[in-house]
Amino acid sequence: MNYRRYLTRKLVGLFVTVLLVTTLNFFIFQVLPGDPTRILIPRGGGSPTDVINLTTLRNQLIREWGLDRPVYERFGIYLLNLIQGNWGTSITYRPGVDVWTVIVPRLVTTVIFTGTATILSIWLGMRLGRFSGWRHGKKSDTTVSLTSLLLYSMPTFWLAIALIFIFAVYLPILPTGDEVTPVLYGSYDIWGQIADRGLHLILPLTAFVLNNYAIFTLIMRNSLIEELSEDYMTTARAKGLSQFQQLRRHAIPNARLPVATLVALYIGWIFSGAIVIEVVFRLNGLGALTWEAVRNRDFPLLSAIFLVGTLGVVVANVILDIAYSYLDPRVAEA
Amino acid sequence: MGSSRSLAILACACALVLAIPPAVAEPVYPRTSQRGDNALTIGHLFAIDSLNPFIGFSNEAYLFYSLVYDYLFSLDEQQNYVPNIALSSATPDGGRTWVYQIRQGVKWHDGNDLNASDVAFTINYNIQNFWLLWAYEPYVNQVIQCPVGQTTGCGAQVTGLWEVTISFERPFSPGSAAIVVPILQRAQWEGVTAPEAQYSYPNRNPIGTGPYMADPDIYNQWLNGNPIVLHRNPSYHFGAPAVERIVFRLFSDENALVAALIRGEIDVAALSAAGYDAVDSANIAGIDLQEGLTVIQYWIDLGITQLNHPGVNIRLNPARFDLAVRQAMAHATDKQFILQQFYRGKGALGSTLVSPVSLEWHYEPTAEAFDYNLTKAAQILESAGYVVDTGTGLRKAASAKVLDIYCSPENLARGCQTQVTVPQNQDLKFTMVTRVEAPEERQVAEFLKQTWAQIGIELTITTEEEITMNVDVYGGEFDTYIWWWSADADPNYILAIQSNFTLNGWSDNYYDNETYNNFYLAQLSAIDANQRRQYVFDAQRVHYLGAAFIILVYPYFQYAWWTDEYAGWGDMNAEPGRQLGAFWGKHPLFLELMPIPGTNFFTSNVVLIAVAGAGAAVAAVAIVFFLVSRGRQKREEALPELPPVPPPPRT
Amino acid sequence: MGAAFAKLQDIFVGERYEATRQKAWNMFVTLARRPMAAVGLTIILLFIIMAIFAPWIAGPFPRYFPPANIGSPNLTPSGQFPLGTDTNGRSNFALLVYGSRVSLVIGIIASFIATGVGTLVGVVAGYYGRFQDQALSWVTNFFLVIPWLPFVLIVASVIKELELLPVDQRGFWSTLIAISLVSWPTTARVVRSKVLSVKTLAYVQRARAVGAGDGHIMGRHILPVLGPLIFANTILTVSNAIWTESFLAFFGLSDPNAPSWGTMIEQSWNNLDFIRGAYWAFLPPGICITALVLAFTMVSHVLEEILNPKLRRR
Repeated sequence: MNYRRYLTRKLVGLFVTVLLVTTLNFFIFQVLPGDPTRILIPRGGGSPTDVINLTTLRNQLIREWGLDRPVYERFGIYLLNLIQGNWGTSITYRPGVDVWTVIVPRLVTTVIFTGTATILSIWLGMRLGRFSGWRHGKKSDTTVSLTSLLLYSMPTFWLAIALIFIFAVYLPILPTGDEVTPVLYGSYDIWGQIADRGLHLILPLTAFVLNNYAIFTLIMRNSLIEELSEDYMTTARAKGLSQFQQLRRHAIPNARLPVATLVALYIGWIFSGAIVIEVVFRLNGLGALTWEAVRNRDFPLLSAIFLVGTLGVVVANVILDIAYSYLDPRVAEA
Repeated sequence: MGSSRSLAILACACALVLAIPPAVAEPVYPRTSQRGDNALTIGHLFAIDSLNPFIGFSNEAYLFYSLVYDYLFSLDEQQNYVPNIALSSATPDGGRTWVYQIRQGVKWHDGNDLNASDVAFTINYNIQNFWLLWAYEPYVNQVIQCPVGQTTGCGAQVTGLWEVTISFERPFSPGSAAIVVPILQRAQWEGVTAPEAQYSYPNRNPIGTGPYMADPDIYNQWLNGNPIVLHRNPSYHFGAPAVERIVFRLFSDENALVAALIRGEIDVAALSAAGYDAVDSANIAGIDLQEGLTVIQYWIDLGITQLNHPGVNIRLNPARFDLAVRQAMAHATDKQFILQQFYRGKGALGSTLVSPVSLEWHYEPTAEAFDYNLTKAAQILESAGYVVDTGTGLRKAASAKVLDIYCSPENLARGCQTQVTVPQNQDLKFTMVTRVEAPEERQVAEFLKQTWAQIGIELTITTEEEITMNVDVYGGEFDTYIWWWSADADPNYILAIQSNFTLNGWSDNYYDNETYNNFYLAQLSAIDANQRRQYVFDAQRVHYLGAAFIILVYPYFQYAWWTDEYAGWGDMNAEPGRQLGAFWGKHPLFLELMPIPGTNFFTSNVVLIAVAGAGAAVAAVAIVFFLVSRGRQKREEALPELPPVPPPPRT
Repeated sequence: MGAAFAKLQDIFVGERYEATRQKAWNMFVTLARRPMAAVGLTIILLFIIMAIFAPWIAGPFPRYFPPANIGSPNLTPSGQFPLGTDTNGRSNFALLVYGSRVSLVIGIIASFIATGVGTLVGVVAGYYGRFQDQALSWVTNFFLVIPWLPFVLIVASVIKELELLPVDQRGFWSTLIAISLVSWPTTARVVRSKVLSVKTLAYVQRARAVGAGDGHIMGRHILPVLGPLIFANTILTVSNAIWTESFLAFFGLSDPNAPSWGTMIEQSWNNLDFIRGAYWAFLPPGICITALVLAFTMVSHVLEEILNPKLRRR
């Protein structure tokens, strides 16, 4: 009973959030950037003070893009288009191309890379957090915390550049970037291709993980310490269970609860891509595409990417919430 | 176990940080090669913006078009026009009509034959409506538009089996060779409307007659930002080139480009001054570098908009129309310092519209040159009636000034005002915009701001993406700007963009000067080369003195390439037509490059790839195993915590 | 105005807040005793000194005309230019020292704005409950859910384009607003949960029963309790703000008039310094960013341990 209500509440929440997200998306990208036809008229296309001829051109564009209708009508058209699967057409980055054609291959690359990287970060972070929390106050705890904080404080691009420099320029054992070796990739067999991709992923993965594992470490550590100070832990110790068993059966599962929210969010953020890493390592992912779209002022494309990212997070969160409540029914009663 | 692990981590981190300085002191770059693919890979920084020759505007796009398409005439290594699609040109009536003999046996990439109607179609296609289709306007805007029903004495007509005649409004001297319009296949383009061609037609399968053909998958390659592949055309009318494939690889930043060149991932790189220095300092045997004046006549200018329209005149500073102010600005611009400080000396001092790379047409100002002289600049402003306000240090008009401005008939129709008043106390405050893509231009602006402050002119600087700057400059949003142009071997193109013919959207500063316009027309119609040269010089001199463009510098090209796989690069300074960036077709460089025999071997990092592959496989298995082994675990009594607030991810 | 000044005077000097001041001082001392926090505070202090005394440490800000701290481009380190010059001839050392001003100013102002807005929102949401809470909860949820860094990029570039601001200030304000916009929900969430727990305390409920006004309750009972929490959160926000500013600078979206450390790295990146081996150009600014962000994070880390009794050493 409770469970069903919980589910319903979650789905309603999902729907409302999605609506909010699309509304804000529309507002930012359709309403704010002034007159979008300004961007569409490239060099040599007539000055705005040349009233007669430019009006013809502008009117044509306005009619095509539906910009002459009032805002609420445009919003309605926008929603209708979204539902029908028409998420827009790129205007400056790849003129005339449907945004899904541009986004989908990038999305696949991003999900594969960022997904692997996120899972690795979470795993490494939680292991180190567990290690560090258990040894709270000792030197190893301080070392791990300090190193984590240090790596967390580094600007991502700086870390990435340093890694490239050391491993790809000074000791050229790894490629400088890209997803595959250009031109020659086509001539490898399937194993060669897998190996090639793997080789190219090492540096970006390292950069991502080093920069991101720390937050999981710290939160896991803190919540583990809190758990360890609870009364029931004292009981467990008094019962005489061995150290490992103490950890496993009592403290760690509870300590994981606060991390769960963070994990859910990070998993959701997979869909937006790691911008800096993709740009520095030249991976053709969604993050790099976001940056290109910003640079080219391609608002329809930006709007679609943004929507994909937010929807990804929202949906991932809801799925994980529901899955989690299945594992721990008490959450549904909260 | 635990503490040793953390110690290990710390040790690694320390090693990382400490290793960098000594590592950097003596970098070693062995070539990790991917040779033997017989694909000339060109690394570049600016995108080929479109496969459609009407949409693309970058120099790389034009290079691409010049490999896929052909022109009536092309440029040889000494910048002379040589026949291509046209065998010859002749004018029976002193330049008003030009008759072209079309080469036979030219084949389109899809196997069809090129004939005279394709050529005539191309010209007529380009002139149908300059408001909707303007990409090649400066070359064809003198062609007579055919009124409805008329089929002779206008436009481009097929007047013989292999003959095309083009009729011009006035004697048109560049008609002999300098109409640089890519010849299009009638069958492909006659179904494409003008606005489609200018805005949206993707041109997925570019079909030209050029030495290289587009890869069948080229549209997807371009769409996904992957390397763009061209294959040699076996039936090219000048003989199939020796290089089998040309690959354009776009790099988002120069670090990647230089790293790729050094590692041998690309064959040749189009660099900037910074990249050139980086490659030079790496001092690698096997890499050749060259720099010099560009054959595409690339220059950087400071434009002072002369856009004259009531709506615009309200928000811009009317003092921009005052010749004295512009000349003072010219005297206060230290071009030598700019060249040394911001272009590392890699260029020539800017002067006139035609770049000094054109020995035939460039005019070098002598007595009339604006020397860098702040005192003179201040004097000019003082005598023109702009006095210094002791409080602010800024100059302003002591009394109202009425300026008489020339408006050509086209301009008058657009609202040009023949009299503009500089009101009393008008400050000499100007806005300036530069482009984000060229950070050195922003620094030039910064330098000018500080220098001009010495003579009482205040500059406010903005930086925008070029795509936005485009709109803003043409729309008259800023008083001044720093921008670029590149040009043709024939001076018509670059002189045209400052004439009254291109006030409809090519001229970015809307310069309109009667004497200049007359000289422009005179050179356009002067069939005799010597006479034409005189008019071209006159036009440049008038323009220079008008100071509506203060041309700052002619930056050099910078190319670097590996010498061990292809031979025949030549000297790009002695023979400017060989430069990589030349975009007039029948490319002297690409048609002469030869693979060096004996370099067809295959090296790949087999062992390394195998190790990496094994490592990746092990890691993947470990991850899967770990995730699977977490079963559900029993929970003890514990209160659910409020979720902590997460900071954003470091991506 | 006079009333506000009197209030401020009251807080810092007057009797009524004696207890609060004493508590704050005690907390500071506890903080400074822990080595991690002490190191962090020292680093912060050093950078503040660097920022304030920049003209004495490095000379005037680099100018072309008349030349000050300008040399030929891309010089190697020497006596005159301890860290060499950048691609435009400006002394890297001067840029580094003056860059601390930008990072600190933007970081601190942005986090003040974010904290201010966040506290306001959190207090209103937590105190009034029901509809306000739900509405604000949706909004903060939204901000926590959107792809953070793309959002920052988009906000910064959109604001830069709006015509509302004078041209040469756009870079500064767009950076500031973008950073604040993505930082405030964190504070709001934290404050809200604290307000919720305070609201249930006995003395607050008694005050309400007696008929005390909302403002009075918020001012006398809730805000003082929130003090340490807000302070801790502000420190964390500052570190994030400085990190975000360098991120924006790397993408060329920061204020071009005020070169920060992130801008230095971006220029160095465009200038291919790390390929030429010019480590003096890109290492120092990166180290500075890392150090400053680390310092704030360390202090915040220790603060969290202090404020949460369960985290203290057992």
